[in-house]
Amino acid sequence: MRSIPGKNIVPLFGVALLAACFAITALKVLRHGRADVDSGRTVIRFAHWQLESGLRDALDALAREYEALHPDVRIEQHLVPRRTYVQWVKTRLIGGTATDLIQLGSEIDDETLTRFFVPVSGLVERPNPYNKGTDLAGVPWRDTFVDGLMGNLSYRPNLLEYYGIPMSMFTVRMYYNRDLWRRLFGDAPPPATYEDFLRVCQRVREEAARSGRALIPIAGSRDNAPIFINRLVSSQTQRLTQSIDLGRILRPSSVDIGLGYLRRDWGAASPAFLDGLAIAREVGLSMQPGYEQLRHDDATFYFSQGRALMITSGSWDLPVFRSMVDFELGVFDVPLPDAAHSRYGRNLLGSPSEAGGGGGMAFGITRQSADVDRAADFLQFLTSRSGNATFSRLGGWLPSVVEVEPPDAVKPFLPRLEGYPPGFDLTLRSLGASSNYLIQAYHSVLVQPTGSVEKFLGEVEPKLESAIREDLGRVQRNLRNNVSRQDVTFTGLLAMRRRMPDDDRRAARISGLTEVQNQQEAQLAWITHELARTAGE
Amino acid sequence: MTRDLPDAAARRDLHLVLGEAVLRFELEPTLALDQFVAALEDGIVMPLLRADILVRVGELAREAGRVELARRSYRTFLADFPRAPRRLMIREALDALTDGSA
Repeated sequence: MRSIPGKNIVPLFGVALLAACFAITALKVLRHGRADVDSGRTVIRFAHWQLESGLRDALDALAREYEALHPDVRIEQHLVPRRTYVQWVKTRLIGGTATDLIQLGSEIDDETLTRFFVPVSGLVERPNPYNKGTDLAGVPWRDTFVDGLMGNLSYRPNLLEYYGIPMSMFTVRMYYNRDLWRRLFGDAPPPATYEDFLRVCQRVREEAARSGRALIPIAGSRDNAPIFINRLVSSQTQRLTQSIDLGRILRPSSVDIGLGYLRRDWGAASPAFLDGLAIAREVGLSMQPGYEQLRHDDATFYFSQGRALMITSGSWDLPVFRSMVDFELGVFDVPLPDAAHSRYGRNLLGSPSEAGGGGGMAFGITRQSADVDRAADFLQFLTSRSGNATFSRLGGWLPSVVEVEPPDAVKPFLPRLEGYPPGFDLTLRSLGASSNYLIQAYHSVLVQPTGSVEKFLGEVEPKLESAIREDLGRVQRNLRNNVSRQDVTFTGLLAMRRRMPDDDRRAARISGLTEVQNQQEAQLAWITHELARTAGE
Repeated sequence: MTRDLPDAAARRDLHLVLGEAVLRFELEPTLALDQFVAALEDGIVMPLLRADILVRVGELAREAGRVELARRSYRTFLADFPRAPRRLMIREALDALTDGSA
């Protein structure tokens, strides 16, 4: 049999291609550790998922400004699509190839933080040097932020440490199609009470039925519906949360909420929790059927096509919506039930404050950074008053720093700072993945027309205690790991202290670390005790 | 026992743990109040912990009828934590104490 010309070369070509790919990859991996220095310049890389052009340009402008101030530094911006961001971050962190700064999302749990990120608790207590010459010059960095770094992306109550520094404030509002609104309601203003809001939803449903038009009150999805629903639910648990407050701090943590459930301080049959579920169902029914299977982009499509009057989302979506829709865009704050409401009023303390939980686009410093101090310095530059003003002006987002004037378009999103702490929501104030997953898994039973509060409880209640136990077990493990990890630093500091007993700065650091360690150990002991005590009940 | 500890940080941490234990095990709350007051005097480093302890001292002192201590603690909280989300509740508690004693 005659051989086909070139047939023997094909496998060789494949092998050569494979070898070339391997060589390039190996070279990249080998160079990675050394790439932090680029012809004598330190390279600081930051990664995030905000692909909107305004934001990208704003961060790019700030990076160039920083380079002009520090000619020995080069700043690189890495843009990663949101859909692949979680996998990208995990791969990079585990592979040891993470950027110096990484945008923190809700999926970055305590375990990941303690393992891969540097706490900035000491740093946030000192003034930001880039605020020199302003009235924030002597103010601790923490107090230069509108939310005082109280948001979950900044401060981790279970770890008692700060990790994330926010660039923006995120608040949630209702966007609406003003053109469609005028056709339905004339010149009527947006609803001022919760009842008015429900009437608006009802009117849209009636119009859809009358005209046969595919029109829904609110475009929902599994991404944006929960942020709306949770706001309403947390209004209903305000008083209940205070009643669980054994520690008398007026704002019990997610661990307290979880342990409170195990202690039977509250339960699925608590009237406030039932009202929370009822209100969740009430608004869930105003979204399109099956919304909990859809993603944010699908809901945005409904809204931008004029098939939904309203969509709930955060201030982060304003530039996106403005560039997408061809109708006049309106924004209003969803009115929550007030104290006079016949059913829901009894559970309220009052209008919730947005001061403590809205920091957005927060960056954390990775332990893999070759120059942690430089990365922190760049973060301080980004969140100085002038840096944050540039970010807000060019990016079209709310500023995170106090007394920075936002662009007019984002003013409706300015956080309401006066108010009462919200209660816990359906994530049990982000207690952990297991309880959150359980609630999400049966969300449709709660909010679809064929479902009900009773059916939802029938599914969730038998499994909730076990999910809460799993989450508390995870908190236990994280605390234990964190304490062991810090023990090494602690021992080193004590040894150095013995050599230099007059070093006051080190003494202060030891004192602070001792305090954190002892608090974490006390919390660990309490969780362990309560898990054991309630196990047989 | 705490008085015998020469190190202020160790004393502070012991006060904090004892106070916490009193509250968690639902013992006599005034016992916890004294522990937290002593911890504040020894110097709490973490600002958020200090904020929590100031709130606690205010609440416990109010419950115990120690109005001046409650007022002092609430006022320190308001002065030192200008961005805390609990400010409105603390201000209301402080106003109630002021109205009540007026």
